[in-house]
Amino acid sequence: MKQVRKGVVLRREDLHVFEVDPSLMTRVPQDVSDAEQARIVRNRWEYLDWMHRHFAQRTILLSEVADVPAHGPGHGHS
Amino acid sequence: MATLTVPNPVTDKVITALEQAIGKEKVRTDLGARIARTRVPAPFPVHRFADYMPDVVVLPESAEEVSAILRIANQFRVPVVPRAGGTGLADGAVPLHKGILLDIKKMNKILELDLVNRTVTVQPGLNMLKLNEYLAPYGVFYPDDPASYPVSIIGGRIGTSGWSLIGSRYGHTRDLVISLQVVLPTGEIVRLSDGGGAPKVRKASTGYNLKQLFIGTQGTLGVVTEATLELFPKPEAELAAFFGYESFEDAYRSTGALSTSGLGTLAAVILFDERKVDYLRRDDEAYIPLPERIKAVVATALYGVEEEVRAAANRLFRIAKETGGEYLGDELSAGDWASRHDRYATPLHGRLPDGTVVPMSWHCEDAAIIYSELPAIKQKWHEITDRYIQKYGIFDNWGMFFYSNNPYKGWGDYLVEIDIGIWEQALNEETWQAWVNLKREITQATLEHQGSISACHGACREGDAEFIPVELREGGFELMKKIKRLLDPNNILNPSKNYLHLAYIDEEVGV
Repeated sequence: MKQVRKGVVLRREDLHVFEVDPSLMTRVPQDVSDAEQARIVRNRWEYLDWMHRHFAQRTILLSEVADVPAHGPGHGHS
Repeated sequence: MATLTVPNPVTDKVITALEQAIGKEKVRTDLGARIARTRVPAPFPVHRFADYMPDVVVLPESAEEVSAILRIANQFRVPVVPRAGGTGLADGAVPLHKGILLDIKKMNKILELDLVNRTVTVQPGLNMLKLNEYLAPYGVFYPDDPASYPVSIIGGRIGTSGWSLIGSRYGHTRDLVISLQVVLPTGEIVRLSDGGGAPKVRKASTGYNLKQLFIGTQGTLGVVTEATLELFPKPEAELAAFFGYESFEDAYRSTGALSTSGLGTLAAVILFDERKVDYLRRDDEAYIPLPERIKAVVATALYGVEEEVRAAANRLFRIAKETGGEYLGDELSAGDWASRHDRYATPLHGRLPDGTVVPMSWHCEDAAIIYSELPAIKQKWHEITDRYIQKYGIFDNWGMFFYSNNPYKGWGDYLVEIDIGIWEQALNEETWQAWVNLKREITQATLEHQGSISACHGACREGDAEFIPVELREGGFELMKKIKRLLDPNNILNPSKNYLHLAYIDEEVGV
């Protein structure tokens, strides 16, 4: 388990899902399996893609139009 | 003068009359039906849940059935509270005096699509997402886009005069409704538009503009039973761009420059303050990796024809860069923007002062504030909130957003929002009253800075409502009282909302 910043951990590098430090979760302990976590993340992205299509025929990214990096500061991981 | 200080209870005679009028299957007295319609997502005094549970739920399917229900309510002098999606954040649908809960969700039919004149006529129980799924094959869409887009419904949007995320491009609910059919509190069915009676005419100078009077009433003046709505071409393209700044002051100035850019495709400008960025960096997947030097964020979105969006994006980027903005990347921009159509899907938790996670409900306190007052109101609202957090420990400050608030333009006043988590299970009468006092102080600060108590939720809740007579002190509230008495002589329709119980009491207003 990797400490990303105070109160935030990264349990599995391959899933790349941040989680609240378990020491802060004592009042509401959670036990989510890796498979379930992966499913939630995948479904979330599918849902957001659906939402884009629902509101416009095409989503344009600023990096396609202007001279900007596709990844913002601190977001070069994916 | 008629009074309803102690409303009549719903008796067996009332239930029988309702069943005879609209059919037994549309009249529900079971506990499940009543519990499900007692509260809305806003923080609620759960320790007094039973005080607000309706006596009976009715589910009409036509204007005639709504009319029959209201006539029965007048006959027996019992309150009626209209309820749409029940997603409002200002308690408009909470039955303060119990009584009859009129749920409009069965009135969800699309009555007419007119592609030649670009209108769609619907019953009020329809959800916008479902309407747009129906409209998509025709290349048109209805652009009313609240944070509750997948779950709220058109009647509630009209009842609250809702704000739309993309309203700076397409207008807000009040701008998108062309005409209405309304059942008045005494049961008459009327058709109202922008003056005149032509249901598809957007601009008329014939007669009073009565349509607007019935938008944002929180169900105190009538029940909307049909609406003719504006249609736009479905946008060819959308582009969202989020920028980070090293100070709130830089981001604030950039917000002003972006909002006044004159870009016709600009649909929204949203400023995040330092506390909002801190909160997101603590608890939001997308923002956790953001470097500490980013103190504030400005989000922008463009919609329209692809060539226009591409050209506008370049101008947008240039303005943001010249005012100190740093692009936060495609993933954060596109992902966060898409999630803004559905903020109700966010699983809610908050933190106690020691950082421990507990389940919390979301309170979104809103106001309409002019641009020049945004920095001052930010400081005051945080000071107030932090003081209560320090004393009571069951609230969590989730920071502030400032959204462009005007139709067809980005400038002017802003929808200002402070998000506060509340640990509802820990509420008791003392902490609930502390919460209401917190709200009161926020409202007072709003009025001190020339603002309006609410930009989009309404001002029905305790802590807001008692200040309506103050905000409308130059004759406006007196006129509201006269209109309410005229249209609802027995005070049966959503009584006490908007502080309008004063319409039936002969006394001076004072808070």
